Order: sequence, then structure tokens, then C-alpha cells
Amino acid sequence: MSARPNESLDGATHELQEVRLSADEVAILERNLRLTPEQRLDQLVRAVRFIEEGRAAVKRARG
Amino acid sequence: MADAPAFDPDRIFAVLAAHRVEYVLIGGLAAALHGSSRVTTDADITPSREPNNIERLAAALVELDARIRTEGVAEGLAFDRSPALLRSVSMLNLVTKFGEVDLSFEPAGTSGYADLREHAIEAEIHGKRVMIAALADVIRSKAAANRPKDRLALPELRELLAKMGERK
Repeated sequence: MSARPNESLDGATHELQEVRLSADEVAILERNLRLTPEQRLDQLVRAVRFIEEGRAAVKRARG
Repeated sequence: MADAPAFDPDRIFAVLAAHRVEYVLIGGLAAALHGSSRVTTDADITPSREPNNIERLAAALVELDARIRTEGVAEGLAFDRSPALLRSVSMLNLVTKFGEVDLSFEPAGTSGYADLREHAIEAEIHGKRVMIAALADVIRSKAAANRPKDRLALPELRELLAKMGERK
């Protein structure tokens, strides 16, 4: 499924269509666009830290 | 909660742990913990339907200020976060004060918590116990769901599984 045009995204819509994101992924991007740049960065940093720690924990659990 | 909240997985899992909610983490975040290169900003969980767990889950959702996620309403829509409501649904897409959480009691390709719990990995992440679905089960669910984003993720996940030599 390709991204559907969304008038609220203005210029970003064109890019989203070109990379043919799924509707779910477009929805996530739309929500992220409502965050400030600082919030988006914080969110990404927190997610990456969690994933890094989680990967190490999974490796430990697997032994 | 006026704006779309940023994702903070540590705080989401801290609340679930504080309320002793039994669940298995599935979906993209579980895949990332198994090594997928795709970073996700939501948490998909399959809670146990055991009655006491549903009570604990309801309390956790109140503390998380969980609301129904819907387009056009960043803070989500209020709903009845009661055990009775949770017993009556199979899936809820939520936005909480710490970001997006999807509840799926019976993810595609699985029969729910007990099925996923059988091979789940118990890990401690930043001091919180998290039950993570086995990579083979993440793949099974994504293959059954067969959404575009699942089809994009599956080749890498299958490659990771092959490298790990996990059960198939």
C-alpha cells in the first residue's frame, strides 16, 4: 500500500509518497511531526537506549 | 495530555512492572531487541487474560492515562479503562502519557499470551523485567498479519533467526 496524500503534511507528502510507506507508517510519521524537534530527538534517544540495553539483556538471557 | 506524547519505553514498562502486569512484548520493539535494524516508537504487548491480570492491567492503563489512539486527536480519546471493557476486546490501539502502546490479546498467527509466553525470553532492561516474544514468534505473527510494514521487516528478521539458530 502506498502512502495516501495528506494535505496537512504539505511538502512532506510528496516525499512520503515517493518512498511508498505503508498507511501505518505514514500515521506514525504524522504523529511524530506534531512533536517538537527536541521531543523527536529525545524520543529517538530513549528508544535507542532501551533497545541497546534490551539487546544486551536478551543476549544475557539466551546465555 | 494536550499533545502527542513522546515515546518513553522505560517508563511504560516501569508502570506495567509496578502493577505486576503479565504480558509478552511483541511486534517491532521485540524485533528490535532481537537485533532488527528498524527502530520503532511504540510498544505492542499481549497481556494475559487471567482475571487478576486484567484487573492489574486496567489499573496500569489508568496510571498511564491511556486513551484510544485516533488520527486528528493527538491526545487520544477517553475510554472506559475498566476490567470489564478489557475483557470484551481483542485489541486496543492506545496513546499514553509515555507514548503509544498497542494491546493485542491474540496477535495474528498466535493464540495469545500462553502461546507467546511458552518461548518468550525474560530480560531485565534498565531494572525492569520484560517478557519478550521469541524471534520465531515475532516472525510468525508478522507473517500472518502480512501488512506492508511486516513484509518489509520479515526478510531481515528471518536472516537474524537463521543466524541465531533459533527454533523455526
